[in-house]
Amino acid sequence: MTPGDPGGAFLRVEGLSFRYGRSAPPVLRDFSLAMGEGEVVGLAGASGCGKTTLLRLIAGLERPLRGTIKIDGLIVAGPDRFVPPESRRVGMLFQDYGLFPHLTVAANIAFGLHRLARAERKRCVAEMLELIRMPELARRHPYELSGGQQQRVALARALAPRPKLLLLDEPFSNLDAGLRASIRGEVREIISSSAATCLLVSHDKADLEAVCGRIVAQ
Amino acid sequence: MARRTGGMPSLSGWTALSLLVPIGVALPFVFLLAGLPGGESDHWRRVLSRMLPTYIWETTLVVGGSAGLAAIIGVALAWCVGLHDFPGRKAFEIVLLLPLAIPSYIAAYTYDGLLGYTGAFQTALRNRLGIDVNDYGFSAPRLACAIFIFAITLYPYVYIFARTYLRNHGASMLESAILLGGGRGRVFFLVILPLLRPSLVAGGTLVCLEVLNDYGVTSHFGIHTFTTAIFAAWFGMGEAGSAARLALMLLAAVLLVILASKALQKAGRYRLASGKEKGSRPRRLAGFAAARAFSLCLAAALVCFLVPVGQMLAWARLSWDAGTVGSLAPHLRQTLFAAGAATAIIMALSAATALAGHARPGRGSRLAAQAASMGYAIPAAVLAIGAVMLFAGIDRATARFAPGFPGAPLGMTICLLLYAYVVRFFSVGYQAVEGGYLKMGRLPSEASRTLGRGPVMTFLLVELPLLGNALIGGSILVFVDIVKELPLTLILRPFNFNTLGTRVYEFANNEAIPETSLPALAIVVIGAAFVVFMRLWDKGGES
Repeated sequence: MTPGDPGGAFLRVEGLSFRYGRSAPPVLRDFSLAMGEGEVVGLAGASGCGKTTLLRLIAGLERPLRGTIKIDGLIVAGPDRFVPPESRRVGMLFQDYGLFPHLTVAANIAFGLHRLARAERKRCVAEMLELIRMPELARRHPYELSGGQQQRVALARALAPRPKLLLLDEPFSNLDAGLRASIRGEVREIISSSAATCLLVSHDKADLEAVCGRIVAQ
Repeated sequence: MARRTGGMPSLSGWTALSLLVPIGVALPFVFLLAGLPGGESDHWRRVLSRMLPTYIWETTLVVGGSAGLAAIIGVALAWCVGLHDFPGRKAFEIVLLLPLAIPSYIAAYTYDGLLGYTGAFQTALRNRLGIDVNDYGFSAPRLACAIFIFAITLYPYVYIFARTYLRNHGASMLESAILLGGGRGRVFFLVILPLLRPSLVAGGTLVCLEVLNDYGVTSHFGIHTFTTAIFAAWFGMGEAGSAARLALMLLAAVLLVILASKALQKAGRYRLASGKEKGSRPRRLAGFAAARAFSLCLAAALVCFLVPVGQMLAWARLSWDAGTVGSLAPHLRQTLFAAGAATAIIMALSAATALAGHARPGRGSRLAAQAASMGYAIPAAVLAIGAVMLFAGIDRATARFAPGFPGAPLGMTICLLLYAYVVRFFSVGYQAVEGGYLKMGRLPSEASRTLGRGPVMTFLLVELPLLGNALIGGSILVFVDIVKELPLTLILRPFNFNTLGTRVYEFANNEAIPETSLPALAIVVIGAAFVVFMRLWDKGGES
């Protein structure tokens, strides 16, 4: 229960509306959502209904048209307030991973750890590599990894700076069916061992059921 | 940590940064307008009553004729190379781009020297066949000469767009059209030509702008275009007021071209249902058809590149033997210095403008980028007059408020020329950088931001390394454009400063056309190396 929010929600989204461009139809209309700390929530909905947009708004990659977003009692987006993404401490696992192609696996994971001292950063990267069970691949570049490996690196990179909130955008959509089942299990383990608060969106209910404690339909 | 950046738009550092180049581009026009004299001079009255119709008529003819002929050559070659496969096609794909390396004015001097009375062609006719062209009272019409020169040097603008399009989409369209029952000729006019309209308009617009910008070719053939008229008024008569008025008219012509181009693009707007079609291959030609395609491409390659370059090489041997090659070194050094310095400034500004636009996306920064890119459309003569007036204003201000300021007067230094280069060629560098951003996508930048890095660190750690190739490509493009540049350099260079281009012009102006060959070849070699490099580099990017 955070002190800043009497309702007890860790993430509170209220009356959120958004559209891409002045004349475009709204993608989100008056959307609200609340999540407690440490909760792993899944958001289901057909493709194109604004799930990714919601995550982008929470991360600060888009500005809402109306409504407020509160994280840990702090308004990060509201009528006269907008906190840029780098100051929100929200991690995001992108659908296409977004690994930096010019950096090694270790450097990708260390990217968000610039506030730590060198030794501590090293220790954290090693920990993360251990968590995703890829310590021997630290010096590889993303293009030398399989799809599943890339996804685990992206997850480790997002978790490494210990974000207040982790957003996962269709994390399994790029994996083939055989890989999907095993990766779901791994992701659930990694998330639960990191004790992060997570919001996961997917059009596939089975994905959400495998990972999330609570599922919200949009 | 949280900054209040929502709500009212504030004039942040980003906004200021993205306005830097647009303001730099706009300033010469402000001074051009402000510098217009109130009353009409005798010279201007004479221009209005006697010369203006000629300027309009000849400018229209040479621009329209060049664009038309360049379009015909470009489409014919693109049709040949883009839709068919025949022995030698791969080599022609590169060779047909090489005319880009020959500035129009160099082609004009070379062909004039080659076909003139003392040139190899007429000499051979006289000596071998006993034919003297002069006996028939024949002289080539000067407008036709200029149009021919522009067409053979500028057709690659049309050719590149059209060939890329046909290569990606043409074969499958052609197949389905033929399956639906149409002869190849019918299909060409009913399907391919309409589909090529965007490429034709885009390439044709570039040709028009280049011709409007030209001074070397038109002055050599004695054509009264607006640009040559501005030069004549400015240098010949010292009539700054008339020159400024003509410059504004030329600017209006450019606007007309751009508006027409926009309207033509809009009218026939369509979108392909899918991206790149697969499965259709260019049609293999054999026998007579292959020979026909081969000879068409060979003829084009000969006329547009091999013959002029061969002539230059032959002259270069004479100059080499005469021992004048050493005198080229200082000009080469000055060319490389000016082009290098301007390229560095342009790429830094392009990166900064792109960074500002991406840090604060929105309509404002898009407009700013568009305004900054207008510089390329502005004819050199117009820009030069505006820049001279701007620097004169700056020098007057320093003389009054800060006398003894070191470096003054600025208008006498290389700064004036570098400034004009930056205004004119900024868009070339900027478009390369933006293209790099487009290819990179938003994902790496967004991933970096969600990992706690601000816009500047994101730019330095993620965008800049990933943009590396685009920056190199853009630098080369800008550099070569500046090495080839003539009219701006001619007007704005400081005393005793020569680039290879101005040297070529001076030789040609002194009727020493064979002497142009060494500096001209240096320019062509730099340009050709770049064309080949870009081609190979593009290929590397595709795979």
